[in-house]
Amino acid sequence: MVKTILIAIVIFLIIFPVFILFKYSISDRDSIVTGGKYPEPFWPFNPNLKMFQSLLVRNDFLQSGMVSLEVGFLTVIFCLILGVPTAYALTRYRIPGTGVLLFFLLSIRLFPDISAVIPVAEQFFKRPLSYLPPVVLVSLAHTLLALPYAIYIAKGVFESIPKDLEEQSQVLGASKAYSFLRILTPLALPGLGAAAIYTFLLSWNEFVFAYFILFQGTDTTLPVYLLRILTWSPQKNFIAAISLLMCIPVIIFTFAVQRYMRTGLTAGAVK
Amino acid sequence: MPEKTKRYSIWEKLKDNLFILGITVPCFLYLFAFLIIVLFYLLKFSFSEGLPIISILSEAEFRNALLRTFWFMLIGTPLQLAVGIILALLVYESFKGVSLTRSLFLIPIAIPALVTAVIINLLFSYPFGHMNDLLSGKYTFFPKILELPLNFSGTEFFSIGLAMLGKVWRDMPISMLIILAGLQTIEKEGYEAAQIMGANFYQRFKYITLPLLTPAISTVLILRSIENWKEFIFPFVLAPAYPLLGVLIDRLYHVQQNPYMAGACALWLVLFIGATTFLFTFLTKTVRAYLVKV
Amino acid sequence: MAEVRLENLCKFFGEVKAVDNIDLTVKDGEFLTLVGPSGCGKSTTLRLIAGLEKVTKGGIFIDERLINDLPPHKRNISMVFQSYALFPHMTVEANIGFGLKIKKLDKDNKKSKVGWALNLLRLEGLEKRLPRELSGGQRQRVALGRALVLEPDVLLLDEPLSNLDAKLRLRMRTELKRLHKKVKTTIIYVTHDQAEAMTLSDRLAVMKDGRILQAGTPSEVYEKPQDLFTAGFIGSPTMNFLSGEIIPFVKDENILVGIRPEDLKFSSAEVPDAVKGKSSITESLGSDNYLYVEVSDALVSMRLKPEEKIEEGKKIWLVFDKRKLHRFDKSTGRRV
Ligand SMILES: Nc1ncnc2c1ncn2[C@@H]1O[C@H](COP(=O)(O)OP(=O)(O)O)[C@@H](O)[C@H]1O
Ligand SMILES: [Mg+2]
Repeated sequence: MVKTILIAIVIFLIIFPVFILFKYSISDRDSIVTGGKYPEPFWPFNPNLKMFQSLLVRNDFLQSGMVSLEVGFLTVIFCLILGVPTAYALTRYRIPGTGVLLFFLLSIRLFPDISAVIPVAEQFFKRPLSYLPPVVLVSLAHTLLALPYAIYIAKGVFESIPKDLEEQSQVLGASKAYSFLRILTPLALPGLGAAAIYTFLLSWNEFVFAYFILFQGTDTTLPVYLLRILTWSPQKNFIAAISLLMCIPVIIFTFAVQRYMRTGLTAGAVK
Repeated sequence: MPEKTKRYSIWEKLKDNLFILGITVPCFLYLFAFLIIVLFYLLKFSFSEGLPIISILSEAEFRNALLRTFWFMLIGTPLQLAVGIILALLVYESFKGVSLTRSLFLIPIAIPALVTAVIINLLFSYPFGHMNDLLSGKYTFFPKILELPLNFSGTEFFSIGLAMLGKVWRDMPISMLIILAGLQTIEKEGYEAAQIMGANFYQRFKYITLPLLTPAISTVLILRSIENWKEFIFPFVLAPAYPLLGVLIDRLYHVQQNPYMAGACALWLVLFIGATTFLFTFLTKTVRAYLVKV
Repeated sequence: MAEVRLENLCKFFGEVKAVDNIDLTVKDGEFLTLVGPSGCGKSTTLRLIAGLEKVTKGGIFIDERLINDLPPHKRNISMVFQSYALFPHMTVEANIGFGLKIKKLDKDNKKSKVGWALNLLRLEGLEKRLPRELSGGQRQRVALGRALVLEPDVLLLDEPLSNLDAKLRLRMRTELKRLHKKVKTTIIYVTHDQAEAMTLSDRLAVMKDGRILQAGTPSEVYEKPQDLFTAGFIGSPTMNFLSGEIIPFVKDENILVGIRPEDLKFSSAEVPDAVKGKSSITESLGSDNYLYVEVSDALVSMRLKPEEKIEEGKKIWLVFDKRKLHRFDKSTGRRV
């Protein structure tokens, strides 16, 4: 009984902020500018979608969305190219020092990004890297952050596929390449898809590196754009609408890859 | 004849290893390059002329930020652990709708930290917002507590408190999942055996759950303390007037344009994190040893 | 020291009748085994007695006291789980002493009791080990020690030997018997292995689908199985079943005749009251040899004497030991 009440309270505490964000995003002017004469309503007087309509034709917003997408996709590609073969090697071959390597990966995750960002930014602003487009630079930094997760998730995927399957197919006469492509890949694909999504989300949400690397330029990812908007003290419904649009892909994908999300979140933390 | 087979096998071995090296080396080279860059610049800046790593210690700005961050970590870490344990205990045993509840509990992790900070900003806005309206008794269901609206971001206590609130809210699924994984390694039959032997709820928690959970608890403590030390977004958005170490690094780098001090501050942050990790590891080991004594 | 009585005991999980109207008395100091196929409700019965499950209907009495609503630790029972449920973070000593620690026994008392249990189960020298540093058999003994040190009135054992390898299982059987002789506790033992039930118990109860089909001493159940299921379940190799109409001295199509392999003989020449068949393969099960005989459309197994040998494909006559014949009603499956 106590438990049910507690669960209800927790669910309320979780849902309420999200609801409030949604409420502000569809609020009319009277519901947010009260002048203190009446309390802010929990449901707008005249709910409307005006903010979304105006946002979807705003160039700077769409531009940032594009930048975020580009950075995200580049990061996914870099991470998969670098991470998946490594994960495969780590699960299928006895490599001396695997433990040390995994520990190294973990410590990258634990290293404060706000400390790492200064050297990275310094290096990126110098030639030859400074010739690269900012979008690529941000994805390179995001790859650094996401790679350990991608490796951990992919490693879990390969571990869950018995080596016997590949060997069986080889015993049956298939070549190594054939069994990799026709046996292993189809089985691993959903899990690797999850790793890709996880990587994408990490990049989509990332703020610190994007903020430092894009500090002076005109390109911005969505989080950086949101922050720049914040400094103008805009209206509540405007800021809520941007935030909500930023959240939507994250919410959808998070629940699509929930199972792998757990692996990512607790990677290395639990045996 | 034996000569030939031997050479062949060495060649095979090399080929095999080449393949493994070929697919692992780029990845680790990439990570390693970044490691070198980070260490190089941090050390270069910290030990450049005037030894910023030492001179920063006498800056009031740095000391204040350090103190704030320390408190932020010291209060935030156990708080996050407690929240994680409570949530995990709530959804540990299965009941009707448990998987839905678990999924709902994961929502915060799907909200980007920056957005979470924005929501808190909206809720606690000054002079009029939901929280101020609530506390000034504008809603009929709540008594009047404040005469005048409170500018939350104008006081050190509240602005840092809000940053902590955001951090706790957004990261609670992570602690929950780790504790949950720890709980799930404990056999149900162990509890039943203890129950038959007369252990009550409290004793079962103390003698079985807690010691078996200490690895998970220690993980949460360490990961959370690191996270709290290095926290940037929440204090950056919610407590810009009262910088923590992370915010100070940004301030030194972007506003004061002093990469040397920023680098020194960044290096100190790394050192503090190392020390705390060491301390927590030692602490949880001791506690566990105490709990499993006969 | 106690008598356990189950009266119309029922336990339903929603639609599933895990335990369905069980009546059973376990006498003081008796070793009783609940035996039956997996899923028949043995564990549930045990957990009901332990107080780990709530009774749906009926009563559990220990020494004529109704204990349905008593919490587990007030029933003065102990239980050993199939997985042993040893506390992985505690040493052997701490595991065995756990119940005493909860009972707040003083140090000396605790020490001497733990010492007694260690000695009883031949665990001396392993006090400081953790469960993961023990072999399967040792873990098993620690679990037993942890249960016995509390001097329970009733000891409940849920498939305690099923996680051990075959050889160790046989050793632990003798060990269990020795323990029972020594401590004289009432023991209720659960297993799906009929051979275990036959060798260990004073009495056994055969369970199926949540019901007790038959309870009795091993020889009673072996010699007079009351229904087809029990007849087929107890004994290895299993009893042969033949339709009554092909047996000359039965000649009843409503009867199913059961005969155990050791109660059959064969003759190469026709004899009265024998059934004609054709010899098939011979199988050696260690010390005994079994001959399979094709009789109309059935395959009948019979035990051969050590010196007997027979080629495949010979025409033979099966001779029944009429005193050991079991007759079952084909429609009800009950003994007649
Ligand atoms: N907690 C439970 N919830 C639902 N059904 C259960 C539960 N425990 C046991 N059952 C069901 O009750 C029946 C008997 O189970 P059990 O007593 O464990 O059998 P046994 O120990 O003889 O193998 C099975 O069909 C099982 O699925
Ligand atoms: Mg069972």
